[in-house]
Amino acid sequence: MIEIIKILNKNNISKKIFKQTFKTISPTATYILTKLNNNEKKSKSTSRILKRKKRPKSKEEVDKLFEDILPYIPGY
Amino acid sequence: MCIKKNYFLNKYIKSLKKDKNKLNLFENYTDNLMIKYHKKEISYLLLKKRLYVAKEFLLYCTNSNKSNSYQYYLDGYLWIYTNYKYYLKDFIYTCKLWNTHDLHIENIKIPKLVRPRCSHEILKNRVITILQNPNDKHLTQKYIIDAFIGYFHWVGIPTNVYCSFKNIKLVNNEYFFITHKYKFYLPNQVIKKVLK
Repeated sequence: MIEIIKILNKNNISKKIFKQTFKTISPTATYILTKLNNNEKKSKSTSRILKRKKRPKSKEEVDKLFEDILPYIPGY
Repeated sequence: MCIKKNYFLNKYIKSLKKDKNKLNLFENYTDNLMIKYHKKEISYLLLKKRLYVAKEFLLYCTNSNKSNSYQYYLDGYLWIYTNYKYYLKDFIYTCKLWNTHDLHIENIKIPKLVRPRCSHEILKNRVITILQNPNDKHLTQKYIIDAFIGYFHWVGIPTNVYCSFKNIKLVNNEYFFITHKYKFYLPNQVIKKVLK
């Protein structure tokens, strides 16, 4: 039994996932449930993506954007 | 206070003469600060700075024809002049004491830059039309700066921020739109065309 719990914990099987696999929970399953971790390992898609702080663009980037509009401006 | 020192005060009062309510508010605030100054609670420099910032804020409130609340202007004012929060605090608390305006300054945080509301393509077209007809009378300074900062930096300036060409400054032969917190580089050719 202890080995089963160890394997489940090693593979990040949380209480929630374990519960979902059984329709009716037996006394053995309820015992295993108490020993499992509650934390679910967040997948990359669900974890909050850290946003970069918005900052003013550099001179090079601005000049590049300016070059894009140059053909439309008379006198250049 | 001697006449020499009083010179700046007359200048401030003159600039606020158009709006009597604001002038009264400013004069009362000046009296309040003068008492503190004579009691030696505040220094001359602090007095001058507080009065200058209060005057600038009151002038800023006349930027729009719409009768927006002072809080609306306060948020916008501190977006550009973030560092004046400290000097403006005393004025805001005094207004609260007199029950003239119920303003909240504590909740205003350091501004975070956000993306503009319209697409990059629209902003690009705006910049092109501005540069094609820079002398168009319908163009306001805020509209021009909004378009430039939006297109070149992909940053939206909030509607309650009233900026003008005064905020564009020449630093080492390069033009920048300057707020207390950020510096936005703008190409020389673009600015020279608009400032003509």
